[in-house]
Amino acid sequence: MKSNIAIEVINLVKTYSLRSQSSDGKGEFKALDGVSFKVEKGQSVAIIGSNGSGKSTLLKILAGVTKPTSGSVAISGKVASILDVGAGFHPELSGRENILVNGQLLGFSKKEITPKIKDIIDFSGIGHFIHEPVKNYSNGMFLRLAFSIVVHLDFDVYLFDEVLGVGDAEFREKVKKVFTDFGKTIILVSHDFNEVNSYCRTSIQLSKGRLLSVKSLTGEFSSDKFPNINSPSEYLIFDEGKIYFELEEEENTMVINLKTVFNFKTISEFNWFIYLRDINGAVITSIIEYSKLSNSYYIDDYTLINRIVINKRILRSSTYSLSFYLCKEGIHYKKQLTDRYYFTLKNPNQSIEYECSKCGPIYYPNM
Amino acid sequence: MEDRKVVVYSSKNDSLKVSLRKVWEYSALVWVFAKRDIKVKYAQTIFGFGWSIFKPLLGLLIYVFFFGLVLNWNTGSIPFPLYVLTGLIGWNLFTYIVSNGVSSVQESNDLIKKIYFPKSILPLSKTVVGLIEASISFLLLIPLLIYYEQPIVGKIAFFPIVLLFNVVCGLSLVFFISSLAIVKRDLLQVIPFLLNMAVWFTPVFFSIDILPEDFQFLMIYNPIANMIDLWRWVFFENIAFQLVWGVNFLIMSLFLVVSFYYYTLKENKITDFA
Repeated sequence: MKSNIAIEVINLVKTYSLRSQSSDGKGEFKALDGVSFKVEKGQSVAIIGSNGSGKSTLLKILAGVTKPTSGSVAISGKVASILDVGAGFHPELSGRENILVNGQLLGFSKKEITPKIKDIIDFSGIGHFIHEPVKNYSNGMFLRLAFSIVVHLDFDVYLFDEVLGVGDAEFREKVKKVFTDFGKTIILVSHDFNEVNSYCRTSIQLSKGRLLSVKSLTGEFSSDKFPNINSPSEYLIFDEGKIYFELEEEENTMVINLKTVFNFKTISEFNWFIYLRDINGAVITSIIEYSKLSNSYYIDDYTLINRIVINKRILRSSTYSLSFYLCKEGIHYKKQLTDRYYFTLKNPNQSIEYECSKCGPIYYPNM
Repeated sequence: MEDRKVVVYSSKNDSLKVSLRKVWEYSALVWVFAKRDIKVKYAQTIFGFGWSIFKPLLGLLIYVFFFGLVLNWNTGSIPFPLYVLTGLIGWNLFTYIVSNGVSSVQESNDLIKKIYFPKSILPLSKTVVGLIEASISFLLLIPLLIYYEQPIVGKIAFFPIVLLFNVVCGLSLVFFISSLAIVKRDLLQVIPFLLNMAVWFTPVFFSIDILPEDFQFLMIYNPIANMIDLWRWVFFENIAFQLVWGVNFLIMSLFLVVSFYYYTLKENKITDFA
């Protein structure tokens, strides 16, 4: 293995035997089917894919928890496998005792852990509760302690399985800062595109146990590409068509102009469900656009125009994301479009006086 | 930062040597788990470690009353309470290792699915806990030895070997049973029952002499019985060393190596079936 490579995965196959026969008559299930890739040192990689695509199995093999059926994995350096937050914590032991137990479970000696205990406790913000048994901790305290341990021990490679979204926004920000500053090798399994975007520069997409694509996330998800709100028209492609959108900044409001072009004439009744989120992924507001409402109109049988106005009072200068859900058959069927659009608001006018008693901060003007 | 150790995971099985090296690398965990177990065991109790004395004491009183006083079983030159207690400490250590060792992997199901370490660490740590419990029982044995004015014999120097024999017997069974019970767990159901039976084929609270001669072979070929006999040999005078004990020790040691290797071959399956 070359010295700049942190992880090398070669033709990995993992088969699980089933208790019952599967539909094709075989008593086994291929969770991974010939996956190969390399991760350079200091690279952060997101493993994405739908449920059952083999993400967690891949991570389990990387962590050494389960053996591949064939193929091999080589990892250089000390690996922190955080497949679950607080795995190995014993409820009866105190927080402090658990720091030592957990640290040793993760492969560090007592001598290496002891000098870091103070930092770990400080970072977790648990204070004097550290001497209480962990079973009496609140969920948040438990998660914060578990993460503080991982953050302070000197690993080379971190494996996270959908665990980064723990704690409150402030703690998440703290954790993120540590990891992005360190420049450690990170493998992250996540469904949250925002999390993926903020931690990783590369994504590996799995589908049914096979490697679908390896993409660079830089430029594609990054907010840098859209520095201004007055960006030229961008579009997203989805199965049923294409959506163009444009952001307009007005004195008190931000306007999202949507133009939806469908591939088929048949789709005439649908709703847009749009989430506006802050950089941490917290939903600021959700917007439902009914195709039949008066603020939307059809240009022709295929093309629909919507105009959404958001009061800038609810926004500050930061990066926001918009994610689009296509809703058919009422709002209960939601289909998220794969990409998410980011924009940065530079100078929101804070001193606006705006009233809209009917709709709160969001309203739909007539066009 | 350069020249970091490279770990390779593949479908290949580790050799016995590599498996042993891995256990050595992770040996600190044996103490971590053992300490954790002991701390947790006596958490929220008033008497704490006292319970490790009360339990064998209660057992001892019951056996002495029924078998010593009521049935008046003869144990030769050794006072009955001492005879029972020495046997009991050895037997308890053995059963502790077997029953806790076998269940240790299942007990840590959640952990082994999240963090890698050689699974043999778990029964090993249970062995350490068993040894600690056994040594606490000595707080009971020593006063009793003094009370019955038993002289200290030079043979006591071989005591570590007796403990080793005990551990070898326990662990070899643990590895053997555990490797057979990974996919189908029926064996685990039988263990408590078998251990309850086995005590009657082992001279824990009776001497081999009270058995009819036709059945005495049960004790001679039973390695656990030999191990218990050896326990008494190091503590009491007037017991002659028997070669069969040594033979049994060797056989069990060999069995341990074989069952440990067998276990390491099967070990990888554990997380898939946990």
